[in-house]
Amino acid sequence: MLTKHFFCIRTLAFIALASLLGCGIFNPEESKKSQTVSINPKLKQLLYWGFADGRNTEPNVGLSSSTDIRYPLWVMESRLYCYTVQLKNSTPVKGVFSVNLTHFDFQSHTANEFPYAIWSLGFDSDRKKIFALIRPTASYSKRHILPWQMAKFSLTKRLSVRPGALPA
Amino acid sequence: MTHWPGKPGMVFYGRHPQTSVRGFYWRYPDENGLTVDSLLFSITVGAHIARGSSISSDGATLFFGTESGNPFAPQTQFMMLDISRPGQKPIVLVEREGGYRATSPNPVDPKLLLINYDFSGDATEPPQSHIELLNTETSESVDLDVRTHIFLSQFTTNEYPAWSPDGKHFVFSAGAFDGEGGRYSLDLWIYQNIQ
Repeated sequence: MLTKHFFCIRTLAFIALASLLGCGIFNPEESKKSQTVSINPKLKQLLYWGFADGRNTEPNVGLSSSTDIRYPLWVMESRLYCYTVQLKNSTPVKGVFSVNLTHFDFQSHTANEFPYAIWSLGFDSDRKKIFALIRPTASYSKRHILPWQMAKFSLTKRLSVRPGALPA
Repeated sequence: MTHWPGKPGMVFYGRHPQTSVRGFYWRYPDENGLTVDSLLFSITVGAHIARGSSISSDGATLFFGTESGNPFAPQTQFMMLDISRPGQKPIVLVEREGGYRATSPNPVDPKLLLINYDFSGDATEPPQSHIELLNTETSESVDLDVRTHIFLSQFTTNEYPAWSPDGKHFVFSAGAFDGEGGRYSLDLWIYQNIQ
């Protein structure tokens, strides 16, 4: 009888241990969380591109797709802009995106084809225009790289994407 | 490239195509709508260093950086230039070990974010970034102890820490190195409640 109880307890303990280990190893959200916990409580991760499936990336969903988000501009209390690449149906959508912080969404302000490299972003004094130093990416493959040029962004073209979740 | 509070146009670093003079320029439209490039101050710095320059919210001071010494163990000078009057010379605000990344002035208080990086050990190691908050009136500074990935050794930032308009938070782009040649992507991070 004692042997049988011992066997049951040992089996339950093994299952419990396996469950605990499994949470950390196989749950992608837990795994992601364990890598991104800051040691400073005032620091929060705001945005990353995660793989939603094999062909698309979504903000703050799933494991990181290793895609960079650069040059944030905090233009209004609830809105900032950044430069990044989103994968949609296996096609990279590259350019300037806006992030609404109150009702969290993520929108592209450039068309699917954005054949430029961005050196820096800025906004003007009335915070209504976004400027960028850009040059055509095609020039990298040529002998002479074209100089950086100043460009102004139209903020009227928007490509809606599914809202993600703002981290707590 | 940054806007100049209270003035039209942009301030940027570059080399003028006609004069070949490198420095910080103010680009603005004149009364006829034509673009004018006016030289604020002639200086030669690396393009990656000039990218992290900024202007105070009152429009009076340009913050930028210079590096000196060994490229693998540089010394950074955080500089400030009075641009409210013509003909001023830049002065050194503070000096730090390592390379220059960026400055970003708070839009409300006399506080300035300083970002630099250094190499731990030999130069084969990836750079380690530091974010510091300097009070420009008292010259007191505090390391904000920003590390984005607790289990990863090296913290790296992109340029452009950006303050919220109310000056209470800032956002920046940062990733990390795992110490084994792997790199974590640059994600957006927010530092809350600077007070």
